[in-house]
Amino acid sequence: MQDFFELKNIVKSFGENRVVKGANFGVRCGEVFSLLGPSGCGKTTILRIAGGFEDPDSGSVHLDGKDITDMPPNKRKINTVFQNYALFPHMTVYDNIAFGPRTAGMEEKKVAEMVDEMLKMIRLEAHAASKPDTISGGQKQRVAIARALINQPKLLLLDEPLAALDLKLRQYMLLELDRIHDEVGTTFIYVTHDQSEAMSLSDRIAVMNNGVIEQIGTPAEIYENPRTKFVASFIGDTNFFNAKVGELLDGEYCKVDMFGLGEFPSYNEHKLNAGAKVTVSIRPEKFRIFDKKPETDLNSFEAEVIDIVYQGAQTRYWVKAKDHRINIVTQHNRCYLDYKQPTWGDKVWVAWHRDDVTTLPEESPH
Amino acid sequence: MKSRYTSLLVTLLVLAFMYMPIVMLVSQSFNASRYGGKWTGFSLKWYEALFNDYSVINAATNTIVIGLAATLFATIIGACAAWTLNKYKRSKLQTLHYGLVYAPLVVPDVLMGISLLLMFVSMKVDLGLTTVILAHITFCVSFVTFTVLARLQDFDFNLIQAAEDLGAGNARIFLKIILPLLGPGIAAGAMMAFTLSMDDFVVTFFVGGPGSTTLPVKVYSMMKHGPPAIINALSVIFMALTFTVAIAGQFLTRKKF
Repeated sequence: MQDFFELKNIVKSFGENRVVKGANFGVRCGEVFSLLGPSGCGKTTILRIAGGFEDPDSGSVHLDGKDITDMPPNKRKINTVFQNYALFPHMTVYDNIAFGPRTAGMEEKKVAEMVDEMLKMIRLEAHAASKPDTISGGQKQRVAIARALINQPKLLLLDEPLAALDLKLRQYMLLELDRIHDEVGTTFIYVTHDQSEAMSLSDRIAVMNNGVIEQIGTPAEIYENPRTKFVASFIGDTNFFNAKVGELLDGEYCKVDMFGLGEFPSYNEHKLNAGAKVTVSIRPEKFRIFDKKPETDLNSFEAEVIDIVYQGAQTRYWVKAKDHRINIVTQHNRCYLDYKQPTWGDKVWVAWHRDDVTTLPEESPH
Repeated sequence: MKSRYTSLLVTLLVLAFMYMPIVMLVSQSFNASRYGGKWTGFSLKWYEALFNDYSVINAATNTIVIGLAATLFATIIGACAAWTLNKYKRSKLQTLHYGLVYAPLVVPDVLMGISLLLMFVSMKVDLGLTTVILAHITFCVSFVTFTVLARLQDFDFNLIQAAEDLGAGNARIFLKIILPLLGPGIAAGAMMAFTLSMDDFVVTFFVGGPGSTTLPVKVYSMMKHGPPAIINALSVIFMALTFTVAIAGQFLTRKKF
């Protein structure tokens, strides 16, 4: 598929500080594309470059086949939902939403039609005459989205749009955003540091760290097959083991020597050679705890339960094996756990499937 | 209970202390007696005499002309200074700028008057309306700057980007966003400049010349020559004017959207 919006080799520094170190990505038409990373990773700068509020030091920005690198923000068919909403405090909700079409010189009758349609979409018909400081955070958020979408942008940029809301409201607004996206079909670029937001909303995610895009993929790809240590640890929980690639096996497998625990057959996604130093990442829910050595072809080692944290929907176990402390999550489900639950100090067998392992080269691809 | 009466009493005493002279002034201006003191009946004759005195009307006109001119220039310069101070607040040059704008607020009026006089004389500028206006601009700029700066500190600059994002050009951003939001702050600064210019005696006294007599200077000179009762009437009118402008300024600063 042809990329609808593209950033090519974007580099941006503020003074000595290199914030974006060569970003490349393409966004497809109609997609929700997230930029996910910790604060200071450069994701907001990339968004501001896309919106035209910052000029890149080098590289180019393309929208719908046109180079828009030097186009000022007010000429781009791109609109932004700002982090703190930036609603005009001296205007009513109606006038805020009408600002774009009025600026474009549209006649008032047409403006009224469009604003009414937007108000209906964000379900705020009753608040058309309210000033922004008299409505709630979630409502402000929806006004900000309507104010941007009424201009029928080719691309909508959202800068941490839910960061200022409390948890319940955030979950509700996520569903609202999803509904609005389904309704209008506009391409969204969504900046967030919250992995669960990015996972639930996005078609694809770009994970950023330190000015570099570490991986781009669907939420499942990023979770199940992280390409770097950073991605594996930033998205969800994981256990890391220092290890070494041993004998290469048939297909895409190899033996991996997890120091002290033994040699285990593992999926060799990066086609590493024998002898390569690797970091093995296994997520807590990929493990299963047995009371004796499982008589299957699962990988397993013996360990001792050292801590148990009951979390309602799941229980988190910390087990110790040799020098390793391993974090395991299990669900309380009798279809799944067919024996008594382990308790502190129990000797157990920890098992996992060879496909649930990610072997990451010690040197990241970057 | 007892403390409530104490605090009421204290409040009344303080109010009396503050406003007694003004009450005296206002009441005496309506006193028919020429030298005041003893009440000899209600009269408007001092006000009548005042409005028939050409030099008083002239002083009032001067005051307003100087006030308006000084306010206009001080507001433009002050608003620009505030914008710059706010935009580049982290630079060293702006710290210096801040200090320079702040200084006139603490420099004694007499010093300011003398130094301005010295400058005008050494530059061979004829003293008159122009020199008074220039002098007033000098001290009014600081007050406007700090009033507008306070407003700017609450101003969300994302709004400008938001307007830009929605397609607005500079003219539209200025008219629809900056002016409505900063207008009240700038107007409050202007009101303050106008009151200060109207009230000023010391600086005006130093840099004024023939034909530039303002109301405060006129009041002072009448103390020596004219009947005191006329001065009372003049002061009351002057005070009413100042209060109106000051209260309007207060109202604008407080206004919220």
